[in-house]
Amino acid sequence: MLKIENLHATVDGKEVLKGLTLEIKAGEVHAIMGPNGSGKSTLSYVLAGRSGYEVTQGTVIYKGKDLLAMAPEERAREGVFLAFQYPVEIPGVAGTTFLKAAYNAIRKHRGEKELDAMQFLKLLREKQALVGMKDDMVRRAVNSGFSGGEKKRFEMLQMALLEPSLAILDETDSGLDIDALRVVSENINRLRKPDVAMLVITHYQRLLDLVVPDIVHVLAGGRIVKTGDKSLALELERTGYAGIGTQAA
Amino acid sequence: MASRKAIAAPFPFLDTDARAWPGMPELTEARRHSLSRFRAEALPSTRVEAWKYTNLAALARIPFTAPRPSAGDGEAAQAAVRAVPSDRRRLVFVNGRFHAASSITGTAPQGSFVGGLTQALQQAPDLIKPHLAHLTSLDGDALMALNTAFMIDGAALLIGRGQTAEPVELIQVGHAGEAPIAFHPRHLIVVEAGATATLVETRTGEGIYWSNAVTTVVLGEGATLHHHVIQQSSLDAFDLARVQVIADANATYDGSLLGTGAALSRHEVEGLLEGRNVTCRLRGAFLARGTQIADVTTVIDHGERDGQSEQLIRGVLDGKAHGVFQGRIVVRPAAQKTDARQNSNMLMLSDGAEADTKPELEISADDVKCSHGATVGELSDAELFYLQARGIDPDTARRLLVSGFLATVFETVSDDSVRERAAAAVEGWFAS
Repeated sequence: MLKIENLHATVDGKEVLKGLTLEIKAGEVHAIMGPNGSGKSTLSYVLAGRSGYEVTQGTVIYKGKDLLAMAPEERAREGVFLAFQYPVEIPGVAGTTFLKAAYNAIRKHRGEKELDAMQFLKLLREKQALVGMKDDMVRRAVNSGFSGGEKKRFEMLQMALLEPSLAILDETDSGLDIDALRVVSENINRLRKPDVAMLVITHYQRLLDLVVPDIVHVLAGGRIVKTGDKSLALELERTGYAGIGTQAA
Repeated sequence: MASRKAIAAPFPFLDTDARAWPGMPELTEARRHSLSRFRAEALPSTRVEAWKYTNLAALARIPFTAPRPSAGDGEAAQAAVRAVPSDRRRLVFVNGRFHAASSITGTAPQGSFVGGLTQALQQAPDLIKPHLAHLTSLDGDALMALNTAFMIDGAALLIGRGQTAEPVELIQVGHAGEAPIAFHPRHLIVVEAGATATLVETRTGEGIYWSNAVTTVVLGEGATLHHHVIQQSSLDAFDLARVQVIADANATYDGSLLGTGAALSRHEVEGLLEGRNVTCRLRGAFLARGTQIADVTTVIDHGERDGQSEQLIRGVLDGKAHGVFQGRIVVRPAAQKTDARQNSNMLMLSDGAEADTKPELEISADDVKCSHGATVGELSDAELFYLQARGIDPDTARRLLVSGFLATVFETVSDDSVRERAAAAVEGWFAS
């Protein structure tokens, strides 16, 4: 599904990713853990195509295509979804308007008929039920005045609606209370299917108790320094990053 | 006349001498005075502070003539009526002249009048006479004098004490043929004590014309006027509109503007809050591209205590467009406990566009809250990326963000149809 090789990327002229290599197969859930500044968010932005994140070396192949050659919206239409660590507030743009534009853009790309307002609202209601978001919340301007937990629920609503084949979750669990964490983990687990791959970026073990990863990577200094199974996350919880030789990076 | 504060403006229509107004010697007199005053002062140049950013030199070069009724007027009126999605009462004007055949005035209750101003002077002189001074006033600048000298008609909306009037649509069409024309609508809106009215203005048109409009709004004690303007004038037109609001105690003026039209537009609101506890809300949004000039100028004059004024003005500027916001807040010594807020935000979509904002506070009372904020910025990369990351192409993303930026201005408008029409006008701007 996703094959990253020797990825180097700079932000503001500073190299943050320094030869990252990673492969995620369809159906797998990979977790990436790592200390602050190790390049976790840079990786998610590079994969989603944010400007200002310049790839200087390496390749990213997604479903057999060169992901880095695609515009951000093309990546999304091809099934890449980034759940933002800091979802962006968009004043004046109703959530429903935004979601319908996104959903129909993706349908159109797939050669499917766009949904009209009624059909779309019906579908949206079903998805809202999955994440526990009421109508008045989705009618409000996107993320405007939302609490941290509400923003993350809204990210999960988008993910449930857009049904990506590669979901990248950038610290979606940070700052969540236990209820919101449950909603997030349920939605990630619901998306877990043989044809979907996931990259879960997190600081903490607690999400990984609820979303059990197939493979855990430790990112430090812009590279993967250790890879293991779910027990690696537990080991990190005990020893901290210092205990697993991240200093070597 | 040789002053650098003036631009000579030898318009041909000036020679169609200001007419006498039959049965209204005060008006006839005011017109004569106003005409000689305009001849003496001419148009304000950018050396006049109030016109510092908006240059009327291009206007002064056009040989405007007076409009004549033409065969196409009815069709133009009908087209404008069809474009307004409303079955409300309507007053339709073509080139400043009341078009009765396209209008629906309904029957106004005792003490009220809805129709054309000339009609009102003939049919309801008793209702107009108490407010005649507003039509004959020699105050104001040269453009106001020009309006007084050449006004022939306008809307008359007179709502009697305590009445709640059904909303009225004011549909104005500019319809110029080969020759550029100038007309000078004069609207009189009187909402007596305790009454409530809603006026929704739509301005559209074709060809080169100059609409030099003056609207006088008189609000009695506790009266409310909702006054919304959707300005989609011809892109070759000059659309100058001045709204004067005179408000008594506990009155509310609730205004909005959405402007996309005209080569040069100026929406000027002068709010004289003469009574206690007056509320004045001004919202303005304009979109301009090409070489359009869009100017919103406001003066809110708090004369008495406990008044509230709130202004939110937003402009979207693309191409080489020039956006102007000048906002002056005056708080007189008696106007303690005034709460005056003003915000303007300009969104620049191109490097070639230009924005000028000038907030001014003149505060002579010590126990007041006054604030102003002005920003000039671009679309946020973070917002654009968020939309793109959900599959939305950059053009659609920009359109959504601009629509959202302006929709915020209309959030507090209670009339759903106005919000919808404002949104449709923004959509229309993108589509054109």
